[in-house]
Amino acid sequence: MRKNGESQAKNARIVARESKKWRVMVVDDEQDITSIFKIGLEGNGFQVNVYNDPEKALQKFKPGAYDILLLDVRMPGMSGFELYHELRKRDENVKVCFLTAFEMYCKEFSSTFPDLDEVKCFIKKPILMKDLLKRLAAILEPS
Amino acid sequence: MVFGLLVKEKLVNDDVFAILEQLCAVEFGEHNILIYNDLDSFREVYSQYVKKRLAANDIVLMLPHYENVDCVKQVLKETVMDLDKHLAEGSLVIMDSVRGFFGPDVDNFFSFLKILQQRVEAMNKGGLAVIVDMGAFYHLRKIGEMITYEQSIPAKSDTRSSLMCSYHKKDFSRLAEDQKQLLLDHHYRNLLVKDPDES
Repeated sequence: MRKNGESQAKNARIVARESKKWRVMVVDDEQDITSIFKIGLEGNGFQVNVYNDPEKALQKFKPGAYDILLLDVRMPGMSGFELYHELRKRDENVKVCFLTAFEMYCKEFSSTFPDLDEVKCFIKKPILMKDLLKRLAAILEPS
Repeated sequence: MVFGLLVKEKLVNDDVFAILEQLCAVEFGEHNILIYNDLDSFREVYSQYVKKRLAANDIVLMLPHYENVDCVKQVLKETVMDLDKHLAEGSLVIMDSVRGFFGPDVDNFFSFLKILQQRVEAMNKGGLAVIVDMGAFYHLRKIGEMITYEQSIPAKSDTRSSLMCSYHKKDFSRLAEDQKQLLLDHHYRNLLVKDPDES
């Protein structure tokens, strides 16, 4: 099982390096988080843009510019959910993962965001880079 | 611009140290508002405030939003002596704000406060100090509910509790001018942590 996960992560790296540079946008209000993600993902062949301000991320966003978006859930000024809705209006196909350091409660989704069912991917922070790579590999290169 | 043309007589817009001085003067019954620039300044304020209230033999309830409970504990470990003891005996309660306001195990925030007020009596404590980050209401798009909730609490009352409603500046800025004014009017002290870059 573990070997399988590691090979998936390796696969993501190989894919990113050799056949395509996966393009990732990371939005998190905490700079240390975005720095770690940028260094780790770029070191594994991804092309990474990071933003600490969701509004700036929205301003700079161009449809088709990314393969996957990693959005923090709780950000002051604009939550990851709100940012998701705005970005989705601009790009219907981009894959999205939410980053969260929190235990999530049903009410956070069901009452306010009924259409959020389409988003299945939540990544719990902190996460080891090798585990993040496995998750990204599973999303970007589903078997 | 956080305040625009709002009436500012009650507003204290100063650095962390001046805000802490204000917090040292807080008495029971006060319903105050704190608007912070960033998590670092908020951490500085709440860690000193929690330390002070625990030293004064109060029960402290803290509901953070942009930090998880473990992170808050780590921050408090730097300033609060015997943090684990306070957590174990229940004189310090830290709960995620979404859980505290809307979670399955809290029937109603006010009834939860009532339980803690009874605990003040039972434990022979001085009073109850509550620090909440209002980010949960933004997160769940319940701004109307938040305004109603804020309006329902008087700026000053005859209780052995004090309440500090904390807003990230970016969250507060999203309110309409009349909503901002209304909130300021419904709090006893209006405390704004000054942006260090602000002249």
